[in-house]
Amino acid sequence: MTNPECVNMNSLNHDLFKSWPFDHDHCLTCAICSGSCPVSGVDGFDPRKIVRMVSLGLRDELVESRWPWICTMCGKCEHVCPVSIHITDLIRRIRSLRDTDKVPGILFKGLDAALKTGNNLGLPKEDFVFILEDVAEEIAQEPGFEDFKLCVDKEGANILTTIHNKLVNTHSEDLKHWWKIFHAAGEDWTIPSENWEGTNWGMFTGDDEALKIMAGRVAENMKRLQAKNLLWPE
Amino acid sequence: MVKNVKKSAKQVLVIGGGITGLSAAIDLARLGIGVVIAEKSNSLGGHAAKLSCKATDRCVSCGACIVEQKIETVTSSSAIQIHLNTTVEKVSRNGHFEIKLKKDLELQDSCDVKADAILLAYGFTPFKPVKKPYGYDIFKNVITSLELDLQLRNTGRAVRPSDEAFPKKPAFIQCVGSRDSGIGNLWCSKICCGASLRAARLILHRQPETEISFYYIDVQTFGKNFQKYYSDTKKQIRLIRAIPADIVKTEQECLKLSYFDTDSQAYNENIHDLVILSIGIEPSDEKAVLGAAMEINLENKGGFLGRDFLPGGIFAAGTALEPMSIAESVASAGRSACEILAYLENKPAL
Amino acid sequence: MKERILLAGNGQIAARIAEALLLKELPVVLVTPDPSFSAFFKPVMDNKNAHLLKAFTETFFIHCGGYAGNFEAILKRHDETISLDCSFIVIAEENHLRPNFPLYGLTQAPHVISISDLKKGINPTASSVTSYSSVKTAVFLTGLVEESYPETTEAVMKESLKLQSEMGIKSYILTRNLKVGSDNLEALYRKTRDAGVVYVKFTDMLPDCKQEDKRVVISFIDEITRKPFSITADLTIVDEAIQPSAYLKDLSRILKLNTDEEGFIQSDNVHRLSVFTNRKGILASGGSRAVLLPSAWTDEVNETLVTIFSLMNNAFTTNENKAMINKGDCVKCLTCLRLCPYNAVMLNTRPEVVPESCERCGICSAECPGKAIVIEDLEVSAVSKSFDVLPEISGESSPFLIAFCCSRSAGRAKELARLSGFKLPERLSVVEVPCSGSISQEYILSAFQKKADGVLIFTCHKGNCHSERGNILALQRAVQFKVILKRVGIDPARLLLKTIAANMASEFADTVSSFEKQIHAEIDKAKVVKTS
Repeated sequence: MTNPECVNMNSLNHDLFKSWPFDHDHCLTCAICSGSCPVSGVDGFDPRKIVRMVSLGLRDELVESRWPWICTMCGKCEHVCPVSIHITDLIRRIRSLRDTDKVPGILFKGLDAALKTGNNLGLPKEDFVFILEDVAEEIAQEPGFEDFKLCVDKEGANILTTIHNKLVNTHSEDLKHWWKIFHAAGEDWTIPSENWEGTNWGMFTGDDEALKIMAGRVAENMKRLQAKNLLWPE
Repeated sequence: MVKNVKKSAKQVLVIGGGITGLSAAIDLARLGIGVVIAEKSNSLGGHAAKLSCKATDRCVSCGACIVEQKIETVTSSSAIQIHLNTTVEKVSRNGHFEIKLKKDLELQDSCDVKADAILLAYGFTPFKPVKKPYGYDIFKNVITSLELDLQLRNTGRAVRPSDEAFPKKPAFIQCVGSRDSGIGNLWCSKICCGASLRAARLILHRQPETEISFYYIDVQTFGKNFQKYYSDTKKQIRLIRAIPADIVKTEQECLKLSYFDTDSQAYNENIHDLVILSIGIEPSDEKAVLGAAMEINLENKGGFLGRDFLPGGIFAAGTALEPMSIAESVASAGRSACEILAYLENKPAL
Repeated sequence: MKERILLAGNGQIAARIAEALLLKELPVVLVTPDPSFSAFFKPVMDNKNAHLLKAFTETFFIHCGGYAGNFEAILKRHDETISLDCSFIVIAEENHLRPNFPLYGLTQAPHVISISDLKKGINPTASSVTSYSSVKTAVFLTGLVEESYPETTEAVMKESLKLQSEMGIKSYILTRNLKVGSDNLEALYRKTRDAGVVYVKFTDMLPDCKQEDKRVVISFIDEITRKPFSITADLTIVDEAIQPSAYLKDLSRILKLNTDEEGFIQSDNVHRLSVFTNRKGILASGGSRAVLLPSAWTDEVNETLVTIFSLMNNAFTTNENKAMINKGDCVKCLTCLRLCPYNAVMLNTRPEVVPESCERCGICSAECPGKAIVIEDLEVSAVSKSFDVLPEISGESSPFLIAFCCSRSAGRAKELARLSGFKLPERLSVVEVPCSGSISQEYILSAFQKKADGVLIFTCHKGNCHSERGNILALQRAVQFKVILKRVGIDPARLLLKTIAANMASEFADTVSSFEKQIHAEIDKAKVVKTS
């Protein structure tokens, strides 16, 4: 075969990722992971392919490929895998192999902003609180919600909730649904005014250091406000 | 069962009256050894006696029919005592074995048996598919391979439980509970490919308008001249090399299976009107209770029995040891009979 | 003298059987066409009871007469003819392994070898022993064109593990269906993966192998990544097809043993489980009867021994009610000799039945054109007596049915149907015969003569007849009889032919019940015609 794309197995080091503790070498190729994946087939991606490429040691293709970035980290694949391969951890590890500046733009910028400002949008505290209050006011105008009250940075609440950045950006209407449920249920809840970001792009980019920082901030909020339960929608 | 039982010099207790226990009892009786069979259920034959004949225009050598002939032989043999509805309550050793058998749950009846050797032929437990996300016990038209066999045995046809109609597009999902270290079953159950493909071809023979799909990882070799059998099968049945991940109920109690199609490299969905889960073989549920009664560890080889771990005078055969077919169980029973014979020859009579 | 066992074979199973028999102080005669006995026979030759052993190399069977417990084998060794009396014969030849080089477009070479070659650690075509030190990459090709067996997979996995972890050779296994259907192979697969052996599985498209002087270049599309790959292999190991040994063909002809489609001397018939052949007292063990996993060999050896011992225990069973040829009526057409599935008809000056070998299938007596062969209790007169023993007729209108059933299949199915509480027609008379091969046209005729409204012939399924062809012959006769019925103006539908298995109680009940309904309807129709 003179196909220039043809990969010579002899040149590959199949043991390259042997030390990774994800059991990827136990794959039976049953394809249940790819059958379960909500984004299988998108741009040629499927989780079994990634597992296979890791086992073969196709490092450069993996790092350069878009495939590892298509995964949504939902974890369904590893839930159904009969040999318990840690597929999402595996994909995160592959993502971490990219140089930071080659991480897809939005993730890279967002994470950078999050580390600096506490949220992926780089939204100042005042703007954030303003948006929340604006939404709260709109709710209060609805019949039955006249006494709706927003509690930012309330101490000792039953529930502390993080916010997905999209909800204070393009989808602020969506905040209303669950806030109204909280209100109707008489729930005692709060939102922190700082480090409220619920989307941990440290996790999604495989940047474990960033992941720890972001998660640590949420834990700190819990401590600071002495909240009893954490609601972390993502 | 009233039977004139011939007194033999040596006696063996066979625990389990399935294909292995029956075969071993016949072998032992033919060697002039007395046999007592203790069977937990109310009939002989075990799982094999619930299977359907899979003959199409010819016998396909599945072996299910030989059970009836073995039951006939055992029942009419004067050297074999049969205890149904019977479990082993206690085993003690005193040069030989003294066994307390507990009979019939209602009567609380018990009886004592002496034996020079014991054969463990307690078989296997079929995998319970509720442990996997295939909607078993939730969707009406998701059944196990054993339930399909019962249908074929009782009515000669595959049937949708929801409306008793004949399925037009049934699917088999292989390896349910096998090749699955996630649930601790790191073994191929060996018999399911043969059982399901034979069942599929029987359905096609009886219901030729049926379109059958078979989702698999690797098709295992079974029977004689497999090469020919396999190439014929590929012409009749749609073999799909992927295990489906999701099962969703659609209109008319049909089921949508989603899987990854290797050829097109795409996520795919097929709608089936009956889904058959090819359930695997698990070590018997009985072994813990029985092991306690016998005061030995019966879980010594990843759940199955390891011959090497058994104390003198206690033998094992059939699916208590590992997954095996009916034919293999018969050979395994023969082996244990031979081993028991050798053991008894070096032992004084009772 | 103690019973003597003649054992044909030169492999491990034969050796293990021989050793066990000697330990039981049973005389053994070993026969092989090979020039010497294999190393497996060392414990046999050194056995403390070796004085009970006779061993013949370069020896072939040329005839075998007699019966279980009393065979006479005629053997040939060079120009010498040897006549040997023995009680039982065990054929325990090994499987023949045929390397699959041509299937992959390869030819055997120092760097292209079979699994057996690899196991032996030698290279058969080179003058020197292969040195693996120069080998960096090894590829195993298995089950790609033809389906393989778990034993092949096991050998491939074990050898690849050695290459990969002991010798540091990068190993690949290219296969189609990975045959893990045997004890512990799934765990072994994992072990090889942990060691770094790489598997490539194929479904439809197969790899392309180009053999060069010192290497083989294998190119393929990996199904999972859809990428084209190539492997340059310094060592290519191909699998082997597992086949019956060529000698079995001769043996089956000389010993009159039925074979299966592939040529193993045991037909694909569950009644032969595990080591029986169509001839009582002649056993087929190991590679003589099927492809057998090494992991099953111990079971096989012991199963063979148990079968021998139990044959010994009832070697002298009664010879009552076996087939007998009446001298006066026999015209020596030899139909019986030709059709007897058990080789129970011997030709001396005229054909004679060997009662010890007769299994009472009744094929000979049903087929004998001169009606010269009698099995007393299967005579039409004896059988038709049982029609008279009928349940009381409660309803005048229920039709009278007679069902001829093979006792091995329909007989058991009927019994199971009765025990399971299926409702059977009340005027059904079931006649069980040892094999449907005995169901002659006279049987059917006598049933109609006894005023049966409908007659059923139940046989085993094709391939399930203990007498191999008894069922087929019975159905052929019945089909011919339908033609006769039509000619004499009787509705041929009053004769129903059906194949069935022993465990199919409901099928039995359904068949007889719907036949009753059908006959009932016919009778009613006939009545209407008559009265109008």
